[in-house]
Amino acid sequence: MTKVLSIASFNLLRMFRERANLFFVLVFPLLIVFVIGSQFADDDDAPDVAVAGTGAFVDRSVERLEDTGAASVQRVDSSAELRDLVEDRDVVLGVAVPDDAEDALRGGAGVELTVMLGPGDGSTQVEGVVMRAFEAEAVAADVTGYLLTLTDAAADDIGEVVERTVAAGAPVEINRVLAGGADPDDEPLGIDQVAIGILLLMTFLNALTGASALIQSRQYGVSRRMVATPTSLRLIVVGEGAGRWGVGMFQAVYIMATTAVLFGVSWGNIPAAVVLLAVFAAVAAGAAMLVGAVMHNDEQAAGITVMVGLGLGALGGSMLPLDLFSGTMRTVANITPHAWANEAFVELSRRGGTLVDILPQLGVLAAFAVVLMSLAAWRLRLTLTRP
Amino acid sequence: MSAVVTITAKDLKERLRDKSFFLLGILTPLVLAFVLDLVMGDLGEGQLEVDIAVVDADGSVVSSQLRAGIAGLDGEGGLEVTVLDADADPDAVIDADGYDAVIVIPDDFGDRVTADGGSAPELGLVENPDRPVQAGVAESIVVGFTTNIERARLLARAADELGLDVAPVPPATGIELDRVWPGGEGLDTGARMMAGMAVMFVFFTVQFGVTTLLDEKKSGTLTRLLAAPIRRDSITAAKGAVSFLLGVLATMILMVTGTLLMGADWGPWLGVSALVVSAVLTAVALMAIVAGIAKTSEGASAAQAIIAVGLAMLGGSWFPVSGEGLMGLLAKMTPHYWFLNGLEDLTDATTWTVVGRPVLAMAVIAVVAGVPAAVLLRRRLRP
Repeated sequence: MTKVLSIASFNLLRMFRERANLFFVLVFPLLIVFVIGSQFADDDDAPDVAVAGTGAFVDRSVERLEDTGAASVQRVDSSAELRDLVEDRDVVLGVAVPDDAEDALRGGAGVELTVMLGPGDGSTQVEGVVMRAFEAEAVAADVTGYLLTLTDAAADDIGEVVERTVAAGAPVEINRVLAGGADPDDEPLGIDQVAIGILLLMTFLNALTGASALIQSRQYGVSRRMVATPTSLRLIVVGEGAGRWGVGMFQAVYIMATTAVLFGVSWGNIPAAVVLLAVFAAVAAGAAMLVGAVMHNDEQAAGITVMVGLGLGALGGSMLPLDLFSGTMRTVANITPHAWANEAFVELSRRGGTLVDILPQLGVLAAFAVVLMSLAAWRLRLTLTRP
Repeated sequence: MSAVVTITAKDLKERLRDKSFFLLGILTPLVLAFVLDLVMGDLGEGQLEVDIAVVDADGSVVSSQLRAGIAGLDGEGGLEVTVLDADADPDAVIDADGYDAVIVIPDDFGDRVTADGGSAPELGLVENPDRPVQAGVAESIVVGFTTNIERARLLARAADELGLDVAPVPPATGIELDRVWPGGEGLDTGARMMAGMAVMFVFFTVQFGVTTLLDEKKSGTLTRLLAAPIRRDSITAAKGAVSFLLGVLATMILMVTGTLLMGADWGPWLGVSALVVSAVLTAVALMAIVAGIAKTSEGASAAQAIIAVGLAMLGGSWFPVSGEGLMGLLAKMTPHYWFLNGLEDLTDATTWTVVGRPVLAMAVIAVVAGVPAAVLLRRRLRP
């Protein structure tokens, strides 16, 4: 046992001697959580939309749009100014409304709004909400214009009747509630989801970097000398694995503790979360051992580490929440340990789950760990002694 | 000069023989761009899958029209609509069947809509707490239908007061949309991811040149090079050239692969080449600084990885960043930002010269980083 511990602790020591590794383990994860969190989790960060045009119709529509909280609106004076803003990507979308828009609608004529879309998906995502605000505010004018086509009555008379009717009726209200009864406007989703994703990504990635150290040990002949000592091959393999596991576990607990303190991230039931981390770190350690056993030089291992670490992370919901995945991709995501761990964390932090609730995910992760570790142990037994 | 060529050729041959260059320089960014495209490619309007259910507890004419209208959206642009029984419990069905949102039409909805005065008609929207984005889409849909109801309701009442007969089918809005893309439609998600990964990984690829100076020192070959009757600058020049050539080679391969595999349309190739060349130059300069400071090649690799990943994140390789605020200012200091923005402009441009500004910005970064890099690397050239 002491031998296992000393192999493991030397692996940890080696990792922390490298100052750059310190950055990656201690500083970098917090930096990403902060940067991504401030990009996506900030409520004030609704997409910027600009509107050109004057008059009561535009004022009302803009007010309605701002009330939805889906966009933050900037008023500009001219359509040319609007075009510049969109072209320079200062706003994702611009709407140019003719100054006589409401009168034109009241007169029964259609009116054309120019929607200037910025490049990329951001503009089309917000377009629907923006246009619905204008449509909603155009209802009275629309109805006046339509009635005008049916009768000879004067436009002003019709307008008056419509205005009176609008004032008399109570508009349809939409009651939003969250299933389970919470208030939809204080949705905690955001920084929590980002922190879970980054924790899994960085834990896996940093444990995986341990693969290079394993290859170096072999290249320098350290492994063969270890085998030459009265230490069984099994103990060496276990010790090397424990070292990788320790790195992963340290990283995970560090991110959990610091994000909880600095950003107020809630991790739910702490003992259950720690068990989950331990199993996930074991999966990462297994993967690191396997890469270290299979690859021949540490530059190749570095390439594989980045590809596997980031690729599995992206696929497993570390960069985009799994809830936004399409049905097919959500199924594909289940080939990654990240997706299972992610699901378990969401259960713990958002739904107040306990250890019992995440047993299925823990089971799958444990299976990942066992398979990877056994493969790695089998390969390592062959390669550790190879010159 | 011939010394530069000889060293460059030898290093290039060595690098291309080793699998690391292909693995880290080409395969990894390719795989990541592909995965990211798969994951993030279907978030646009009409692509996000939204699963909505409708409960009509009313059964009136108004509510049936509304229900039928919502149900009619089934299959359109990623929407899936299910009509549930009138007595279904929204919380329970969301829990059991995982709907993103359930629209509830309460039993007095029709009466309240048609009644004169009285309390406001209400529509319920029960959202799945795990799916705020999809629920937002559902809300937007409900708002659209509410506007239609308001229009029909107002029309019926006003017509009634004016003594007019109106058709039961409400008129559509008189608002028409003219959709334009003043700055072009930009790159699609797949192309953007490919460009983002290409510029991120070129920072790893160029290591295979400048950082080998540290390896040469360790293995003693640097001393032998110094003993040879060649100018010292030839050695640094050759290492820089290797970095540059490998970087351009890898990035161009990725850009071409992007057109072939993902159907990316980058615009004029002359512009693409100008952007690639200047981005690679900045990468060589920045990575050379690290190689000039680091003590060992392992330390250099790790520090370079920090810089590569950090700059890529700030500069928009992973997700688009806006040019505003503090984050925008930081973004503008990265070559990634200029490379990606240059490509966004180029794809809709008629002439390649639109990349002038981004190329100039990257040239500035390359010079600012390149001068200290050259000095530092030269200091390395000691036996």
